[in-house]
Amino acid sequence: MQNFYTSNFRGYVYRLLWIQAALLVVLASTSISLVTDVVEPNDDFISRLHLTRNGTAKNAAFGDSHIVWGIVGSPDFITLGADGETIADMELRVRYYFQNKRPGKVIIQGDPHSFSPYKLERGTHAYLQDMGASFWRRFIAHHRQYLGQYWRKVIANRGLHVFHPKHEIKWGWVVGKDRWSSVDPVVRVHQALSRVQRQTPIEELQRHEFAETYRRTLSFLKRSGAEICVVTMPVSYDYHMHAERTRSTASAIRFFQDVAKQNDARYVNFFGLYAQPQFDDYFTDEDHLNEVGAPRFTKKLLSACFDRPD
Amino acid sequence: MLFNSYEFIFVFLPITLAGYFLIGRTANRRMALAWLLLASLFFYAWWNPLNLWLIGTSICFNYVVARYLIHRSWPSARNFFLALGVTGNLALLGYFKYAKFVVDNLRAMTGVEVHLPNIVLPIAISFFTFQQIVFLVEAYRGRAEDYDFLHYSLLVAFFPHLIAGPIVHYREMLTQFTRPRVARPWVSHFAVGITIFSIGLFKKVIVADGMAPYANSVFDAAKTGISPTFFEAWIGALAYTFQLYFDFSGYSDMAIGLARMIGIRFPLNFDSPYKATNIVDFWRRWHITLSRFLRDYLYIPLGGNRKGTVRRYSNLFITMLLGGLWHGAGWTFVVWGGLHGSYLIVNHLWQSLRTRMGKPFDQAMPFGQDLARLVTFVCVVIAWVFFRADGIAAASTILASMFLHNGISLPHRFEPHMTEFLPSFASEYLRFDGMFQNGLIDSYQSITWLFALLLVVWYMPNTQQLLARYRPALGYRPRKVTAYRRSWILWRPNYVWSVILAALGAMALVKMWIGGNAEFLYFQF
Repeated sequence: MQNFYTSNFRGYVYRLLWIQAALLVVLASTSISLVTDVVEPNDDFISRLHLTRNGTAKNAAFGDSHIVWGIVGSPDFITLGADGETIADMELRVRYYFQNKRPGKVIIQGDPHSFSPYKLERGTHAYLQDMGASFWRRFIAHHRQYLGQYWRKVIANRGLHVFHPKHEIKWGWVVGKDRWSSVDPVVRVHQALSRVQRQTPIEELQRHEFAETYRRTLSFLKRSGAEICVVTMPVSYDYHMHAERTRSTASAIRFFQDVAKQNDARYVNFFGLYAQPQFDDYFTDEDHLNEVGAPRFTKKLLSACFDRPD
Repeated sequence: MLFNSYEFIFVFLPITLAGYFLIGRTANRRMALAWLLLASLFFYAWWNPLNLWLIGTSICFNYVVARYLIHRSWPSARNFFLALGVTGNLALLGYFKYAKFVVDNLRAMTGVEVHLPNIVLPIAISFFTFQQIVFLVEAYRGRAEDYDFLHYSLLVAFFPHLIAGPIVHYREMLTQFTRPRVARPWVSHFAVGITIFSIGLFKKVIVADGMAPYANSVFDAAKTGISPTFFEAWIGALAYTFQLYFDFSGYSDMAIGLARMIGIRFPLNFDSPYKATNIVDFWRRWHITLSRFLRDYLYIPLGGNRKGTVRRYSNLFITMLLGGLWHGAGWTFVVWGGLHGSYLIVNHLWQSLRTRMGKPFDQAMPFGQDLARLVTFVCVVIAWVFFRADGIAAASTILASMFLHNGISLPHRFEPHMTEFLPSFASEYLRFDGMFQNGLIDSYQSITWLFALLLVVWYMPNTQQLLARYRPALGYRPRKVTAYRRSWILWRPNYVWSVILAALGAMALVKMWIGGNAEFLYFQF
């Protein structure tokens, strides 16, 4: 009679394949459950995706973290974007959001750092290329690469209650809680300088394919009948001090101004709006507004963008 | 198509095996082998279909020349055809692999501009070229029989060894292809094969690819001129040492396992090289089939050890230098080969000195074996730095850091405990700014992993030892198993091992899905 340790080649092969298949099925089903029940409800990217897919407001602001931290969203005017998004990402989001609705007032980010090397080299996020994707497609394209990290987190913390939304998000607006003003002034100078160095736009950005993408996005909105406003977002005193010295920053701002003009859009340059030390309290870090600054700024921005001049 | 890809594991392999055994059972042996050849060519064409003409032409050319060498006895014509065959093979390899290297160096030395088209190195060219040179030489020596075209083509293109070896000898393979019972399914072969393949897959996907980020971050930083700290440099070098070990040993296991599923045994290619207690021993364990090729077809024809001590050492050095160059057209590979050549010379000198003095080194002192293993290992690690680095400058940067050029920086928290005990001269080398100042290594976890892997490669049995009862490889001597007398550790087809192997395989398959599949390092050679 065969016992636990008895050798049998045929039985061994069958057992090996069956056990392996069973392990894979168990792992796959628990992973799917982990993603649907635990990860996605707490995933900022997914909540923004849902907002882009299901949002009904005609008015919206588009851009990267500067926009989503800096412009307070509301049911009538939502904020659509995500940290690190590029001009190419923004185009995808704009086109997807307005594919079946007529745009109203639209704010488009016009920040010099959109042309910095790290942004230009970054690939488009997988889920933005396929925003209408089913859960399965999203599972493969987006979650697949993070599955190992999800499980490591669960195992390390011995529980499923380890996934929390990274930020509080209201209609796309990320509520920044930190105060840039509480950071040591010397540290602020160094951090701001290092960020400016990373975010300095390239020379001759007009020739980069992202410039064409940007023109195309505005042209699409214009054709769709949007009331467009291009905005250069405010940055902190330390950031502004270093950034204004770079020639390519000025050139980038001129580019946004020109493209806005070509598309009959209003251009608002708020780059230096809060570039005074007393406004450091408005920022969560060197270039993102916080819960104090964003509401004030939003009011000012909407007025500058869409109020009719007397 | 990579061995560690879903298309290979779930599509190509099942179809190939099913077709092979089905044809073998219903039609005949030759048809089954023809199917295997077709599958192998498809496997090769997967990378670039245009390369089929290259391997096809190479096989035809060598087959014609070999037949001439086998059937004709006129010495000068035989000499001419051997020269033609070897030159033809080397010219092909030289053009694709070394032309750019030669032209670049010519330009650097003389300023002469020679324009070359953009040459892309066809995968596996180094392997199938060497294999065919062996056949030609053996045909010239009158040792090769007249095999038909199908058998010869399969010898060269057989997919388990085609891309990165083992560099099989025609005798080892053709005798197996012509056996009457070839193409018959044997469940024992399949069980052993799938076991070896699963172990190899685990080694490659989990261990080797897991080490890659540590090695890459340090070597990439050195390439850009960043000087790593002492710990970063050692971690980078050791991570690469283990990455290469598990990558190549994993690949070799997978190749051996695949062939075994088909009922073919490959020669052993890898035998726990880091257990070596000297460099001569290391080269008997690392890429065994390449070492065998270099010994039989380069070192011995150069004169071997038959023409005095000086010639012996110069032959050894030349062989290793060319062995280095075989791995890649770059000065780092030349230095790597030169280093190993020097190690071997020192090793032989030392051995002859010890023999004259009486006792061998490893028996002369307590822990002699362990010390010898450690010294050998460190020498190998140093040489791997050149093997991996993107240029001599990058390798020098890493080696300088490994040998205290930048001193040692320890974590801040050690400072209060250590400063009072330190002699004054030590402060020149010792700082307390953190072990990973450049941020190239992000956690202390890497040290734990490296230590664990060191224990594995030094003290654990290897795949062949685990499966020694089932003759996993040609020429493998089961006497080596005696080191692992406790029989429970040796593989047998029971419940326990099926669970272990299923778990290892499942982990690798999941990791492949999450992290994609990385090429084997030896594919670039």
